[in-house]
Amino acid sequence: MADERKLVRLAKKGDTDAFEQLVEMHSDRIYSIALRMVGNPTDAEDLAQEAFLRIWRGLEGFNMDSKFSTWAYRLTTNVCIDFLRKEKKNNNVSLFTEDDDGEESELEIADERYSPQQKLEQDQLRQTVDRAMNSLDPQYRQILTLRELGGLSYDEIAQQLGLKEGTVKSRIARAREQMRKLLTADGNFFGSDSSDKMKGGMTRG
Amino acid sequence: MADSCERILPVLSAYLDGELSEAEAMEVEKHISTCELCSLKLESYRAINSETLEVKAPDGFTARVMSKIKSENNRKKRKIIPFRHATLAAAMVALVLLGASGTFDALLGRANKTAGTVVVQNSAAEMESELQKNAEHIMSYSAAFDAAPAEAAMEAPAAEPAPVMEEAPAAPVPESRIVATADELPAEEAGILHDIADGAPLAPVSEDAEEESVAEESAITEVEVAGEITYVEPAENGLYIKVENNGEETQVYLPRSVFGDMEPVKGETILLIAEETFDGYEYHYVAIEIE
Repeated sequence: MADERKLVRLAKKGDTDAFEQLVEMHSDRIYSIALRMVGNPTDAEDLAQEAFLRIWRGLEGFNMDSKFSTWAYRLTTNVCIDFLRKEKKNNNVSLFTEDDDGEESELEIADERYSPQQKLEQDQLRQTVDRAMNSLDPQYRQILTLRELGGLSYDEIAQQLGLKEGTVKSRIARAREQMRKLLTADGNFFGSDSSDKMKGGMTRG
Repeated sequence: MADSCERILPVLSAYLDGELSEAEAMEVEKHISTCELCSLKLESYRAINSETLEVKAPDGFTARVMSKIKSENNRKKRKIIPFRHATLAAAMVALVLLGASGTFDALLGRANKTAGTVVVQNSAAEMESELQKNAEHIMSYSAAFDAAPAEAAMEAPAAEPAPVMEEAPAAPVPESRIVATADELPAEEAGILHDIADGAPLAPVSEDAEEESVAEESAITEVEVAGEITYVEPAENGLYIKVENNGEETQVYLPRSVFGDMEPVKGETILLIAEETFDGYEYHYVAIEIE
């Protein structure tokens, strides 16, 4: 993998090829942040694209003090939160729309790293996680996303959402607990042979 | 055991995120070393992580992003908008819309000398209070025209500077950063001006006079405003934006003609370069570039 800092330096100078590599490296995570925040693939694609546009435009002002990914993910969560605020204003609740088909089709991209059997298990686990995330209360799903995918600290989440840190702490705790229950109820994620799956099954590479 | 589980369970999640104090974390560790239930729960939480929550971006995602970026790059040519031929109306509209009090008196008294437009405060707090005042000024100013056009008309075309408002410096403060207005004004912008200035005939700047003042009175210096856009608000025929760089906030009104359909967006980095002249009396902005 190309050295990220080198790519960032090149991209800062306007090198689109270097930026393309950065997009490739971070597109899964940034798309995932958007998808988990808004809950549907259509908005997620738009928001993830918007996030990359802003990353591109903002690169010049990005000082290399922090990690590129930290900065980029934060920018993405900003884009998503702005979007959700507007959605909230418009009373447009697109959070529970049934998007399983769309998401699954995206997940069908062949992954050479897994055997067909492994891939099947992997797909099932992904679907289980998707189902659980989609049934999670949006505010829990979003805060869990900010924490796990966005990598934000409690303090940062509190600032972004205008919440008290204590609220963030308890909401994340409830989000994890709800998610655990949903995954347990599904049976696939924490099965009877769960120790394997929990520790190894979902870990890539 | 049950008692201590009750205490531990609510903080397990924060423990996982490293958001507990050292003492609290030690207590959790001590507990989970002996309590299987809490230990399993922690493992479950740990399994709900970025790896498990991440999905793949849709096919062709990178290509779609790059095509957007390339088309944006193509459109985003450096714009240089000569200010020399800017109409007075352009300056006035920018003034009114920005509502910068530093130049607001120019609207009253020194309109015929004023070519440039945007005054910038360097401190955010200062700016906030200025904005507040400016809003009031604009309102009272409009009201004055409505109520007493004759009186306003006496003030406006005067060749001498009008009495300066208390909080407004006679000339922009030296450290002010400025961005100029547009070359040509769409008719509707001029229309706004007429609405505002109805009853107050404003002496139009002849091109010659403008050229003269630029040519004779001072050298052109380039000023730059660069940084992240922290605020965008639609304004008549343009945008009102704030740009932050190293904690220094700059407020700028951008006429639409400057950016076209390339609307500056919050979070973007912007570089504005304005050529600035100072005739000992007013700053004049000769050109603007946006990068």
